[in-house]
Amino acid sequence: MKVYNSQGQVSLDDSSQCLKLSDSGSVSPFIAPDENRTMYEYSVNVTIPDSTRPYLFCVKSDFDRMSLARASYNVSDTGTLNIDFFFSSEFGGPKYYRLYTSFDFLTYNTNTNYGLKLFDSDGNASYDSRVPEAILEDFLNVGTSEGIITHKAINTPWYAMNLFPIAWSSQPVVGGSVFFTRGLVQRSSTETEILYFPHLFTEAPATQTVDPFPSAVPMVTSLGLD
Amino acid sequence: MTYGVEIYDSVGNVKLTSENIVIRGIFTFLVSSNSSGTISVPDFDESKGFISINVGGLGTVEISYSFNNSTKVFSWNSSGGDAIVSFFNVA
Repeated sequence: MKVYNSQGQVSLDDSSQCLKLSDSGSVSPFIAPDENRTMYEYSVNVTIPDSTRPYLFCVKSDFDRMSLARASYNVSDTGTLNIDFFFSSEFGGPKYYRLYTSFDFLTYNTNTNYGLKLFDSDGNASYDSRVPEAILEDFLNVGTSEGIITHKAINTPWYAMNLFPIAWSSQPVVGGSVFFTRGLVQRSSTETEILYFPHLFTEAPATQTVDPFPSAVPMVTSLGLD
Repeated sequence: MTYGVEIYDSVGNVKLTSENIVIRGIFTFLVSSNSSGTISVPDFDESKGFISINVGGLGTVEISYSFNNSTKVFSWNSSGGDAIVSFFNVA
């Protein structure tokens, strides 16, 4: 079944599934700032049902500086992908996350009895409106430079941090060097800033800069969740 | 609303409207470090979607890339660590 919107574009298509909410929650930091560290460090383990399909790991803004530190991947024999996301924030409180993936509806549980469910020719569910969809609010077109990006008014953005293009640099200071990470911070409902911020101090002297690369970072919501 | 469908929950909240812009995950693959190449992504429409790149591990990513929306071919040249390229359609 296909449903078209007023612009004539397909907005519902059970043969081409949109990204759906498959995990959500909050996480507390496992490392706190100290004399050498300015940021709280967080880690979340998630499973992606199909390693060949894109996913969105979204983190809620608290008007805090955030960056993706790294992600560790492990593909299973069954084609699922297990990922440890490591991200940083200056907030320190629990950080809320949502994971959107492409998946069939065989294992999804919901206690809602209202909605629309479609079935394919094998009798399996191909669409279920009870599962929250990833709705695009706007993009951050993150380029190679720092600065403010203006976007649609969003009070509380959920940034797809797994798509943030990581870059970093290190600069010498007295007694060592400072490691700067490229990240983002919400400045207002319509502005997000891309910036480098000091992350770690190390006693090892180092001067290195990694050329940043551009990437699109969507801001995502779901009806009924915010 | 004059087009499409809306679906409500038991207390009257809209749970789905076909006017929403939803995101469809089309394809993702790993670009190995220090590599170049091309790959066909026939289901991706750059005029309606977007490409995202992110790191595939601990290595630093330095990559240039382009997509030809006529031939549906993605080209890349990576001089850094592993990268994950993801294609999304929106509508």
